Amino acid sequence: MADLLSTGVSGLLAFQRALDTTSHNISNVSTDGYSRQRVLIGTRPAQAYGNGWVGQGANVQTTQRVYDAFVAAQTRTSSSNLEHLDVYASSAEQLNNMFGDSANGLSATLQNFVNAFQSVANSPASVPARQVLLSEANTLQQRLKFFDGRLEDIGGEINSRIKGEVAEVNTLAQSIARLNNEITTGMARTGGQPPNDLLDQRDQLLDQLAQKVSVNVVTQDGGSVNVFVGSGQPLVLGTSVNQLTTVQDPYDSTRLTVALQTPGNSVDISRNISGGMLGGLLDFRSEQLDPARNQLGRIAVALSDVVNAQHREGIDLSGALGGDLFAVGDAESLASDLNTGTGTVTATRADIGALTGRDYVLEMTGSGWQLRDSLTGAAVPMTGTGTVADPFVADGLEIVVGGAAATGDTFQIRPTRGAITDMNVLISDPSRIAAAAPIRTAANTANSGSGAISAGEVLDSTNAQLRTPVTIQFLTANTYSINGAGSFAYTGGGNIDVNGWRVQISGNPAAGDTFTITDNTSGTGDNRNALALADALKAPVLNNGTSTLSSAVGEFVGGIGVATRQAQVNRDAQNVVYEESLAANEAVSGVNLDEEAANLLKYQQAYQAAAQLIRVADTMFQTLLAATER
Amino acid sequence: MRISTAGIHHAALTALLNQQSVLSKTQNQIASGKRVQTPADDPVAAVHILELQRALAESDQFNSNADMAKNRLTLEEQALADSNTLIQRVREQALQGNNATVDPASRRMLATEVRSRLKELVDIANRRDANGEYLFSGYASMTQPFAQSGSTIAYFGDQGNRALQIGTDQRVVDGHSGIDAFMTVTEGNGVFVTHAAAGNTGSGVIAGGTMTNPAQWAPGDYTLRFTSATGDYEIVDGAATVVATGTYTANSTISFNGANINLTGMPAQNDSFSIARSRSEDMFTTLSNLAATLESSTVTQGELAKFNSDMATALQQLDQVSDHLSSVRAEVGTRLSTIDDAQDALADRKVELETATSQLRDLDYAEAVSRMNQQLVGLQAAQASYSKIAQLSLFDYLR
Repeated sequence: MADLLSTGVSGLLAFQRALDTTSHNISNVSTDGYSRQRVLIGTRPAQAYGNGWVGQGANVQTTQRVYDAFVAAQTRTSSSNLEHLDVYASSAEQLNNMFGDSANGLSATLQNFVNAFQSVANSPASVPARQVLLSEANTLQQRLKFFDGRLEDIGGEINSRIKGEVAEVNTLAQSIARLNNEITTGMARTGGQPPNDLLDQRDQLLDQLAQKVSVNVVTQDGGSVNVFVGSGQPLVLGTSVNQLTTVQDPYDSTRLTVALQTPGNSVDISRNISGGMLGGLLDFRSEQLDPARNQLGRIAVALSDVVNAQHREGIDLSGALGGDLFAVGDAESLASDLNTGTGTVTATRADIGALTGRDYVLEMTGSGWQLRDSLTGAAVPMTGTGTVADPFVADGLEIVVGGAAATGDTFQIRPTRGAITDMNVLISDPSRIAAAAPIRTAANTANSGSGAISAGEVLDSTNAQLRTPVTIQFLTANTYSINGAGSFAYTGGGNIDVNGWRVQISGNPAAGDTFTITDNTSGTGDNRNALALADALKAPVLNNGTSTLSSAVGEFVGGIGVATRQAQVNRDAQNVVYEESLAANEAVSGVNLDEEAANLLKYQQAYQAAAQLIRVADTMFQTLLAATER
Repeated sequence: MRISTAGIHHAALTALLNQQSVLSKTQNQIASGKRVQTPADDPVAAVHILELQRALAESDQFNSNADMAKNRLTLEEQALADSNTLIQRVREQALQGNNATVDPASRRMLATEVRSRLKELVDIANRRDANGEYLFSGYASMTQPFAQSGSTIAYFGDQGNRALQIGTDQRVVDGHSGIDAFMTVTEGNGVFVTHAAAGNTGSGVIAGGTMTNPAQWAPGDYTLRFTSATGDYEIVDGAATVVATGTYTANSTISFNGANINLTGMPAQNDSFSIARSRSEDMFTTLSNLAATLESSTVTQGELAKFNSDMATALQQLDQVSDHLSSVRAEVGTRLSTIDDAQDALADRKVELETATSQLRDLDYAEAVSRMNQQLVGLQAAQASYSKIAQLSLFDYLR
């Protein structure tokens, strides 16, 4: 009877605990990170009698959470990857939207600039047309600066976001270390009983940490976890924490990277961060943002180069040779803060067509200078010896090294990154636009032959004799002299190159016929150089003569579109993976209210039955009392 | 598979949000009418659209270049037409003055009129366009091309021809220099030009000639000299070499080197006539020579014969001027029709480019609206089913 009572009580207590846990589950149905718990009920040790073992009821062995470490780790990894791809895609969308507007975009502005040259060609003497050209040049420059500035701003935003994320990582790491402490002490106190809610909290913090940066979590005996970041640098070891910090890029102080501060030293882990928001931000910066600025800079460099070269070959309204219309920033070579030698590196752009949108690292290795791609680290072949007379030549760059570099010293070379920052329109006086060619040609009106002379083109605008008058006189129908000297054989339509210019005479000139090439004084209506400028802007100058400026703009915008599209597809795909792993995790650990309702019924009924046992025990006791009452 | 309550809600909500985002995208497309809104929507199409729009802007520019060239050429054409009318009137005056019954005073009046026509012609040749640029001064468009210099009208422009871009590979010259328009009129009959020498005393009048066999013609400056009063003549070239001799009787034809010379009347001994290779003469000189001829004395027989010879040369030259103006006008007309053709092509191209842009960028409304309806049905179904499923709970049955 005593056994019946105590057996009944044991059931009551067990089911009460089970009902408690069920109600805990129901209460936490919407708690983030909560894993449903269940009570493990076992039999109490049976009592041995001579005639056999008699059960003594039930007791609660433990309350455990329903948790699959493998599924949880999978969810964590996929959420880390999702955050990485999400921040990457949303940043790419920022670029995409910026360059997407076709009306205000680069392509339209560039075409307006080309059209302005045509308008000047239509009326070279018209100051308003020249004014329009200058204002289009300024608009183009401002447009490039606007885009470049926005890209720079995005770089700044990335810096501050990195700072913010790093601060959050540190807070999370602190909390994880604190929970490690609570969990280990709690488990020790209860003889190894799992503190389920603390474990859930810690798992949730680890999930949040993984969303910031890819982590490697290793569970220790005693319930604590160690957290490693990057390529195995410890962030949390039990209850101790190492700080993540932001440090300046060794080449560029305006750029932040991520380092782990361990006692005694700090390790740059930027390159090893693969997931989470930090990984996404760092990858976006090096894979999209930097190349975008470089490409934009390259377009500006090519624009300035093409326009300036042709503009120098013309003369302005006052008759002076044209100067440069645009100025752009030079190629940059930045020494690493870590360099120990005194080496210097100067890089200049030599061949616009061979320029790429990449950055480079020049390193002094034990066996000499070596050029690498800054992003991929792939070796880039160079020719030359690095002296002024014979510079290193690679990808359109000329690199001159000096001083004494120590082994391991590195320099970053950015061919076009800063081009737009220092971009300027150098001409503000509309009359200084060189729309005319410096020379003009004429056939003597007294010529009796049918010879005609071409308008002439400038081969070398720096020739001192360029604008000195020259007379070509035909000695016979087949020979001519230049300024009365020499006798040259005449070929119809053949090139005659003198003093930096070229003309062709065609037809049948007669003996005595003369043609003159003179300075194009007062050639206000001459539009030859304006037409040449409009043509030059349509010539394929980039990518080794395969891309025109406008197609380069198209490639640039298209490239951003493709990268964004790809980032979006990657994100969407990862989202599916994440949702699946989340569902798998929820399937194991999530609370189902119907299930809990069933449990509620089950445990309630069991509790009622156990209570009935007490009544039966009481009845039995009463029966016994009644039997012995007399 | 086991499903958690939170999971049911989460999954349903995610599905709803996805439906809504797809729907919002469709709605955006319908509102803007554009299928490709950012490069990422369709990178290939986006790049193509940029190129099409560039080509469109370029072809608009070509069109306005063509308009500009057309304006200038129309102005030039007008100037040339006016010049031609003027030359016709001068020709009438010359014919009037060439009449033997006209007295010297009337001729002088005609000469004055011709001189005023000459001024008018200079004014026409100095015309400017709407920008204030001279039509006929070549590159030196701000330099007045024609002005009196001593006794002649001199040209101060250059021989530049400004071309305008009216197509990707097409340029058209928007005018003629003063040299081409007014200065290079072929002399005489295009092969040679005849003049009576001053001081001739006979009644011989030279009035040009014709080519009968161009192959025999050797270009050069010849002189026809009469060595006797009975018509013996010799023709010498520039080096005083005699190339032909013969005897002329009144109104007979003198032929040499494939050319027939129109000589009438009877030259005296030592009278000479030049038969010079055609060079070019400017119109202003032609007019001022004509005026001088009209003013010249016709008292003696020699003077009268010289007057008649000069008038014949002047009339022939006026015809040359007229031909020259017509041929320059024909060239202008050709250019204008080239421009018209180019503009037609540009208009066609514009339609093509716009169609292509529209096909790439613009939305197919029928497709988009039906897609939107489909998405709406999906969203409504998701909402309805979610609200039904969310109501189900075992707790409802626990009493």
